[in-house]
Amino acid sequence: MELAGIILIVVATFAIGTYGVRVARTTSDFFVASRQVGATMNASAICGEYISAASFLGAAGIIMRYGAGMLWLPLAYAAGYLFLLLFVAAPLRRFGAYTIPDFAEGRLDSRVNRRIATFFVLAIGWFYLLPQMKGAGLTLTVITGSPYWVGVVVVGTVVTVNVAVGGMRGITFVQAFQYWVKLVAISVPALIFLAVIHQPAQQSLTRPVTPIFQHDTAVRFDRSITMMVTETVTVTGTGTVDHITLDRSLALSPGSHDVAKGTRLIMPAGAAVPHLRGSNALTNQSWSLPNHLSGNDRHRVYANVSLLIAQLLGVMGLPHILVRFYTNSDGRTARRTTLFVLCLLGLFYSFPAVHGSLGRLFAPRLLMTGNTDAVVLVLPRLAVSGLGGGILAAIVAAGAMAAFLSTASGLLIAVAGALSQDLLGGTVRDFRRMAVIAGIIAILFGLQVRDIDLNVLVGWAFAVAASSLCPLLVLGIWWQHLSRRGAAAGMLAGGGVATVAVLFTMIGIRPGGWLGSMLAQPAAITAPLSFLIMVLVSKSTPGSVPTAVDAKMVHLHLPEAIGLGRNWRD
Amino acid sequence: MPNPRVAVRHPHAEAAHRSRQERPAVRELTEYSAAGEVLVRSLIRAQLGLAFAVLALFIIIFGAIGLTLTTTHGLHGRSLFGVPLTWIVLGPPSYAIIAGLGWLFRRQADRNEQDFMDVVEGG
Repeated sequence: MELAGIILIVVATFAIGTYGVRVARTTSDFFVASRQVGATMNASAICGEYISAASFLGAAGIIMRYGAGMLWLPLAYAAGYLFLLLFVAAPLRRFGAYTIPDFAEGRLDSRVNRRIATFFVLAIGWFYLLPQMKGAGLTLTVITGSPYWVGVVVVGTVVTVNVAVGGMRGITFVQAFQYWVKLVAISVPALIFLAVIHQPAQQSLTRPVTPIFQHDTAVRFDRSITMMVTETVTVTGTGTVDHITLDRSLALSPGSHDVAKGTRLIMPAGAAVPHLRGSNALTNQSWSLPNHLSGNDRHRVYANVSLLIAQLLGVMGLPHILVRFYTNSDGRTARRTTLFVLCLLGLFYSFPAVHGSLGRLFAPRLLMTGNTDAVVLVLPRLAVSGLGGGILAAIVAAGAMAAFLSTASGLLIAVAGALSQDLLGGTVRDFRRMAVIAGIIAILFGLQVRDIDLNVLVGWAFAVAASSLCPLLVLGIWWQHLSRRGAAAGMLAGGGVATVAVLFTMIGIRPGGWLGSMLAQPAAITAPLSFLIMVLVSKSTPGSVPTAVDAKMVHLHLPEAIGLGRNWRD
Repeated sequence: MPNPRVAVRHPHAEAAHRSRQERPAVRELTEYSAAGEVLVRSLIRAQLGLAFAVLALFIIIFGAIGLTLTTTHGLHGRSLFGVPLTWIVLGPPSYAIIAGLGWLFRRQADRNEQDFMDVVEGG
């Protein structure tokens, strides 16, 4: 049934995409007549493009695992748009640059800055594609039991072909539709769970007890892990535990146990749920309250704060989102659109907490395998029996699919567009070729990140965006003394360090303690570094401030009604 | 014989073309006279000041919420209708606060621009 949901959403996407192409022709007519995409539609489209696998699956997963402290995470995903509204939305629209490399070149009169901005568009785009690939692999594994790589390759190919053929290029309507699919897919199951699950069960979520298995539960391990057992438990199943091949029941004493890949354990009803080594074992009470992260693991607090900073600042540097602001008719509409975006995101992000908390009651086995990112997908069938559960499962599967399709398509368009514009001639054929190459690279990298939390993966893209394109835009818009050299140095230093740090973590160099946390979540250091270097270098190279900077500031900030013309070139 | 060429302008550009000729204050702005520069600078400063003011509000409000929740260990574990207060506070009300701040900024930013326009049109 879930498969039906997925197929339905893919077909609907293609159908609306095709229909949208016809609408697009008339839209361009509208454009000549100076009409525009309305603020509500554009806001839906921005949210459709923004709510990715990390939001749809990852937010609930991370809340299920770490609890109340993680409620800040979806909040920061939304609050990033407040920062965008305050510092970027209207001026960026008024400048009239279609992409961030265009902005870099137009604002600074510099091809070099354009190239650097293009490089970071590519880095951010690819890093952001990773969690979409992981989400796709995970979803197909949960639904069909296929190996991880199947989902990555299948969804990666669908998205790549779709973008290369041009099925979704610039189609606002498809993205807007995807937002509403995702909203329904996250809210309807959540509201039904809350209605049908009786109160006493929910209340145990605040008691000082560890999660237990409510029924005899089969747990499959699709990778080798070490788990911590808190109370002696007798399990049956097949596979290998502590290098012993299971043939009859086995008593696991408290302590750590190695479980080999491919093992299948039957956990008896009432048993306390073992947890992964390295993650804190939380009772439901401490999970439901904040501040369990403080204390002796300060570097973990740092990592969380750094992730929040990356999210708040990173939205201002997301290439696929910023492109959408050009479709607003003027600066004021850009502000109105962003305000709608804040409302629509608030609506969506209120729900993952419901899935995350109920996951502790109904799907505690995910805590044991570390697969908490799957909670939104598996919860419907566990929490609601019979046909109802099946229908809800199909709905969330469709929503998850909408999340990969919309975000991955938007990103791939941004990456392929930047590659073809700046490396090749910028023809449609170049764009298609680059879309295929970019898609293949995304699939290959996507295969490597199976074991990393979705929100960590997304954090990487946000960290690089917050340390490179965000400072360029904010200082470019508000500070007329920004020089070419300053902007280039700032982007290269902040964004470069962030990119290298992320690559280290990605290829498996993950030292413990402070250094490890700083490499894994660099934004708290690299974003201020980028701003600082831009300011310092600009101050010492006043000669490389572009000459017509006053005219550019006027174009960025004056309302269109004053009649300055369409963009900075006029 | 080729058709005679007609200059086609984007409506915004058309407005620009007209206003540059017709409205002296606009000409001052686009030619960066001293008076125009002061006006533009004051608008930019007003908008930036507003952005920082709203940012400060954001930091104060959520700093206070975060500090309160952490120091009181989630408001001493109190709950409402069986839901811990932490989960309620960091839920819909927080999203409403963010949207409210956005609404505040948008209203004031539009007003700043209107004030600017009034000065320009009146001058």
